[in-house]
Amino acid sequence: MTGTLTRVLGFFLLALLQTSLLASLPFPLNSIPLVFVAGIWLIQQESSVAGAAWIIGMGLWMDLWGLSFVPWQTVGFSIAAIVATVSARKLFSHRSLYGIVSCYLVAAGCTLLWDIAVQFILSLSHPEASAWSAWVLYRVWETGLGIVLIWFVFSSTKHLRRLLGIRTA
Amino acid sequence: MNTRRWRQRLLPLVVLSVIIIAALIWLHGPLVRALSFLQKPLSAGGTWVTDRALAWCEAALITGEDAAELIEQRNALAIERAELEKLRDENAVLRDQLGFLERRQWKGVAASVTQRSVGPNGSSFVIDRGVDDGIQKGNAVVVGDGMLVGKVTSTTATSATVTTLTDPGLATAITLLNGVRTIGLAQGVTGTLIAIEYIPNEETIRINDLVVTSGLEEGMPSGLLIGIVNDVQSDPTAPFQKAIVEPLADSRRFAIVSVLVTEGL
Repeated sequence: MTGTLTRVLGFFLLALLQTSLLASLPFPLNSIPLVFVAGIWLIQQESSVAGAAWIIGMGLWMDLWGLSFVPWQTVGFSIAAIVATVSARKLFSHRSLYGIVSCYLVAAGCTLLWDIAVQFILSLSHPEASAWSAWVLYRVWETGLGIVLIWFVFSSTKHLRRLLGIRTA
Repeated sequence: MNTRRWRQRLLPLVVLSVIIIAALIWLHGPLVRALSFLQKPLSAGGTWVTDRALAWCEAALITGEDAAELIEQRNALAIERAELEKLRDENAVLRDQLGFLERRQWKGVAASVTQRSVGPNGSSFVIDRGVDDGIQKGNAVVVGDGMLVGKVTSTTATSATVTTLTDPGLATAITLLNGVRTIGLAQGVTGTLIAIEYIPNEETIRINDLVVTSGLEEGMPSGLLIGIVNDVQSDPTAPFQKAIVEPLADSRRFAIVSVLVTEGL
């Protein structure tokens, strides 16, 4: 259960860092998807649902406090977590940077499609409330910084595995 | 990976998911209080970096001291002018309604920003005060000497979410301090600006006209500074014109705000 506790505390620590510290930084630094990337990395390294729980938990966190630009993030993040878990097991290797980046891009693509669908539905009733251009720019930066963060995390994989007590696959 | 190994791993991870979800939903209040100790310094640190970064960007255009002085002067003059205009209006109303008893008083509840929105514009933030401190949905949130930055849009016992004026989904009842005191609705537009639409063409609006709250909505006092008009878009063939307003306060630069709550007499 020590591992479970580490992962619960890890989630809260990363969520706090993202919504309190990173979100307060100037654009584009406020778009770093810390929990999402960490969740993808954990899915890839552990082949478990802990990373998926982090991603779903982050969607729930944003919905509970109304922190997201697009609502109903829990659903979008849940879809992304499932797709990432399946693709990590069936398609992408955790030993290669390209494998993890591909897994991240597929999962991020799911949230992107979900956001577009929600924004489109909302724009039918409130066209004035849609800010597509700002949102697109934000998502481009978010994806780019996510890839940079994955590269950084991937290069520190040995240390992080030891820290989290993940056995070598 | 075999099925047995999966089962061994699954149990603690299901427990993990249940703990995270249960903590977020049922332990919301105590969780908010516990987390705010960590969130406040983190948010304040990020806000400080943003403030420095924005100041640095402004300094690239003009010298830092000049920029700070000009902004200070502009805000001071805007506040002074808004107060003067409000006093002039109030004086006229009071002459007409001598003996009128104001039924409401406003009290400021200081709050720290604990979280900010994840998305473009940073259009909402969470504060560490909630219903237990008298905060209700619709309350005005101000910084400095009464510069409005947003409205409370949702509350819990221990926290509240504030949506900023620049959010495209938020509308605020305003008064333009032009010759005829045009009233209308201001709504956020892409970026960091506010738009006032459907202003009749016969009403004169000038660049640098002040925009203040009209007080025509619940939980919002009149005369709070919102911004200054920096563009007027009119079409001679259309019956209405549009004013683009630049907010005077940027919520990204403040880690502490005040929520105006009512105290019934």
